[in-house]
Amino acid sequence: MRSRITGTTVAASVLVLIVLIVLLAPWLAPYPPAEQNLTERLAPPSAGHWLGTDNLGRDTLSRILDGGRFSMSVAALATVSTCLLGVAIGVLSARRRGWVDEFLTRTNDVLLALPEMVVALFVVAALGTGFGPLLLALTVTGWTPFARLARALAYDVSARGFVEAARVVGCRSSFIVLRHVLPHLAAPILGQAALRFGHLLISVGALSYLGLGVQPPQADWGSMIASAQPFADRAPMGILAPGLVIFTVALCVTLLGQRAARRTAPPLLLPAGTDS
Amino acid sequence: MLHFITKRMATLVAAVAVSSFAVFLIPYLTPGDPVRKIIRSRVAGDAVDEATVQGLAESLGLDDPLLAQYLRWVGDVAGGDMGLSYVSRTPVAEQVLPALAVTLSLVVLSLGLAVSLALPLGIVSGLRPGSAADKAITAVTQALIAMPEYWVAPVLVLVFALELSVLPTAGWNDPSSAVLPAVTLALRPISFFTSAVRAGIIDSAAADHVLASRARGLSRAQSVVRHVIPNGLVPLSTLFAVWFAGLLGGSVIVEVIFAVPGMGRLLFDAVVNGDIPLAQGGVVVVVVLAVVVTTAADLVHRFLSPALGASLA
Amino acid sequence: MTAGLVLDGLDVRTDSSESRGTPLLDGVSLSVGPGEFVALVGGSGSGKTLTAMSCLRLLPPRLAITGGSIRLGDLDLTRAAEQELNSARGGRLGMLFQQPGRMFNPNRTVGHHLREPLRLHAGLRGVGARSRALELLAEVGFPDPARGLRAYPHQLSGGMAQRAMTAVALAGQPEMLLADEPTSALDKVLERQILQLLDRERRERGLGILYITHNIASVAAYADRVLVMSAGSIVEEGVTSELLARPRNPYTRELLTAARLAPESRRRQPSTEREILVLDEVGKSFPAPRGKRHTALEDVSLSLRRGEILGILGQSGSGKSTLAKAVVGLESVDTGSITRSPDGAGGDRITAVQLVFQEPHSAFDPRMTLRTSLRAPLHARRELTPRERDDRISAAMEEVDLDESLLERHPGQCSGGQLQRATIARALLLEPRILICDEATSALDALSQRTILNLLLRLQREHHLSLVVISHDMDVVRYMCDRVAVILQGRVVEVAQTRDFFATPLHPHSRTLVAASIPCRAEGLWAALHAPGLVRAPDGKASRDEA
Repeated sequence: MRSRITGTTVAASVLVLIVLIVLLAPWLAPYPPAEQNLTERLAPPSAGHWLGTDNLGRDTLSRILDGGRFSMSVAALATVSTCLLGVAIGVLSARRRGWVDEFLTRTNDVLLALPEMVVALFVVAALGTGFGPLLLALTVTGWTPFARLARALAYDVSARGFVEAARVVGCRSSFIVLRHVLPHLAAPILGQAALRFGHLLISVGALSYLGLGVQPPQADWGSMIASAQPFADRAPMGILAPGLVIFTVALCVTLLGQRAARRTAPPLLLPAGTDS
Repeated sequence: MLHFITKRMATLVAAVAVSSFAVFLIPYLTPGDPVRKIIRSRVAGDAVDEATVQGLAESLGLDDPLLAQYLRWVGDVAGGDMGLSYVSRTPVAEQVLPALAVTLSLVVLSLGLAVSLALPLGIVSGLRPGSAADKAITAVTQALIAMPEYWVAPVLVLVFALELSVLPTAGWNDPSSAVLPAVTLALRPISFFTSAVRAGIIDSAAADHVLASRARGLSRAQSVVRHVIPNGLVPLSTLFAVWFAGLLGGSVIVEVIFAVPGMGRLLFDAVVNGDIPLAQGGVVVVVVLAVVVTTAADLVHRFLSPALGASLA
Repeated sequence: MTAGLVLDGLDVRTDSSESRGTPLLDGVSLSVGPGEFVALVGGSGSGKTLTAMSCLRLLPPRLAITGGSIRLGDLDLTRAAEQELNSARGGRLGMLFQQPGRMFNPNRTVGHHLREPLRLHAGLRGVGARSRALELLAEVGFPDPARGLRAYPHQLSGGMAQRAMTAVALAGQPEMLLADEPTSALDKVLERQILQLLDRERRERGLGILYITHNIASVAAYADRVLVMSAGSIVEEGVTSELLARPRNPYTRELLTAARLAPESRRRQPSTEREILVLDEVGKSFPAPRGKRHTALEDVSLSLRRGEILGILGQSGSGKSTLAKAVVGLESVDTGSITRSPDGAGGDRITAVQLVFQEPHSAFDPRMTLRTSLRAPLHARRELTPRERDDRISAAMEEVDLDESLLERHPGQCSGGQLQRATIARALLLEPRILICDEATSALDALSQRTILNLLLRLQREHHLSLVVISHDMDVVRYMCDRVAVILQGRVVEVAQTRDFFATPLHPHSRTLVAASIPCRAEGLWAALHAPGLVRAPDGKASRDEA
């Protein structure tokens, strides 16, 4: 029990720290991220360049700090948009039932069968690279896990006695959704959102790695790995450092998400036999 | 059961119809005139005049209603005619099928690896939740989820190909060239499968009927082997299928990094080069396969867990 | 060496490592001889199930036997090695559980469950095992044993599942059977069938039975001896007729009081007031597997007069709950009509009909305090100030004898009886004219049940409510209702004044129901138990619920 609490605390603090550093990057970064210094190409870590430099002599640390903003904000926005869309669809599905539910669930099934990366490739191909298309690419398929979870939970809640009780005493559907359904969804959805943020962060990196995310000279964690890869044997830090940052952030949010998802049980009922 | 199969098949057909229609629309949705795109697939440069363009549009029936064009396209694709690639000027089918074979072997290899690791790990973990072994396994699986493939792959190459020189850096020639791609691809499925097995085992061990089986005289080991483990593994069948379907086209990163000539690489190249017929052909094949695989998994799941049908019907 | 099962001074505590652990069983001594039917009765949480699980040595992880002994013939179960225990469990010592549906592995057929004990304890495999399994299923009353073997648990009804479980328990040819509330999930008709089955095994094979229950009626009917358990100890023990007729221990008396709902205590004139609810040929069906439809209600015509108490009797699955939901508007109907207040008085507003649910714990959102939940009905009444709302809530709580302090609690902190009263309070806030009680007391223990029924009767009198009491419990219907309607497979098969109905049920199904409610072996005893003077007056305030 003790170790889990500390684990959660550590994960939360590390995450907050990284987010703060990334937000404050323009003031904290030792060099401008795009500043080239061709005399110092592929330099190993040193006092001047803590994480060394890349093949154009750009400071790796400064580029990581700068690149975080793109990766994290696309992932965060995609998480929020997929979450809102998914919860809306899932709750609608569960409350309306009938053909609406059938249609939305089947759509979800089809999207589940579509490889996420392929869909993303197509959106990017159709709309071009950049922030907006990337966000859309991740949202098209990204809402499905939220919709599945929200639908299952909303179904569950709607079948509980207190929702029927609320209907019997004349509460409107909107009241029931706001007061009974959504509060029950909150914790598991939050947990799912954290897990998805980690996943989306990795996906943003993947698209950037493939050259479909940010365009040079702007940096992004994924594209940094891609551009450092040909020089991996001479300057391994160019790959290791950005990857480690993605890994750390993804791990922290995963830990926090699983923690939140675990705390979904409603307040414990009295055990049988304490009735008297 | 029969009713379920019919219903699932109907869904399958609908899914294929909807997604193939979406694929069919790609040239209309992407910027540029579809006819120009077709011309570009046959003639290099701008040597074709306006009258020829008009004539081609008519002869290809591009002025027909969209639905008629779609049905004609579906007929062609079903007959194996997916058109010519813009880039290589060869029939798309001739590129897609070999790529599919490569991807299939890669996916089977890495999912096989994932399952053979996840089963023992998940079972050990799930039978004694909270134990030191469980904590270690859980920690490792959580770490694996957070590892981007485009980071793991270069690091593996750095270590095994460049430093130790025991495995090739890239390519798809001999069996040893499959090791690094398969391992990289297996990391996240290992993690997801292990957690699924663990959760399944914990759930199934807590079920009342396990206690009842002890009361029938089964020893703990017998009850674990006969009831806890088989029931705990049922959810894995669905998860396996989802991953299988997902990796058919989703191994893009790994295939690009290791230069594996599979579907991921093919789709990536097609998108990057604007090679629409190739992309269309590739996506149609991937999607149809994916839908078939998930449908089959549903049937298997229903067969393994008969009560599910009754509760969901 | 005594034959049968003998417990001597059995102690079970939490956490075996420290003798300080909380005692859960405290010096339990009992014996069940071969061919004996011994009942162990007590309220929920008194330690009955724990006693059975101790005998099997299958206690939950953190509990341990800390003293005393359990012997089965020559075998000391407290000292036996794991291997000996495995051969005793399901072999010499059989076990029948409460919820048969949950005790089957859902992914395995009945045949698979039967093969396990046959192989382990009777050494039967293959064809031999199959023919014995068929025999067992035939014995417990499967009409088609071969089909039964292939059936998956979810394909069995509650009654058939418990029969199948009985076959599994008998497969190892036990000399002693622990039956833990084997029928409490079943209705009276099925209960009787299962108990008769067990009793036949007792007579024919000399099976000893430890029958754990809270159902006094079935005890009176079958048990040779009765043990009464409270808070982990046996408080009274005796021959059934003796103990039921002359209970000495106060707790036993309380239990017996609770079990007794004086029959025909209400002798009222048939109501002649105007009809307040009319159901005219109501029909409702649901989609069923394979594209068929399951008919839940068919041509149901009923009427309810103002101030009347109408009972609706039926077994589980008969369509009772669908009827309740249709009347309050939770379910639409396919055919026919439901008219509330046909004369127009009180309007056709839906909230004029309120529902009291079966499961009080689920009727409240676990995240909200009772006060928040009770505010919901007043949500639409915009003319009320917050102050007036709270006043109304307080008044409603007072009406149902609940302390206002409960309003600040969450449902998880309240007892079932308290919550059921809060449900009634919530319904009263809307000033209903009709109250539908859908198995409103079946989830409660006997004492709370009684309190709630009396509360409903009082409210009915004070507010001149019309009540619809939906139940499978004959005693509840007989205690409460003026008129009874019997529902079978979605159809109303008989409607009669309560007294006429119980005296002369006409429809064959009504006769089965009435017959099942009177125990077979001890009708005289049952009558004695129901004689006046044994217990306190029915209208006493529930002391236990406030505790």
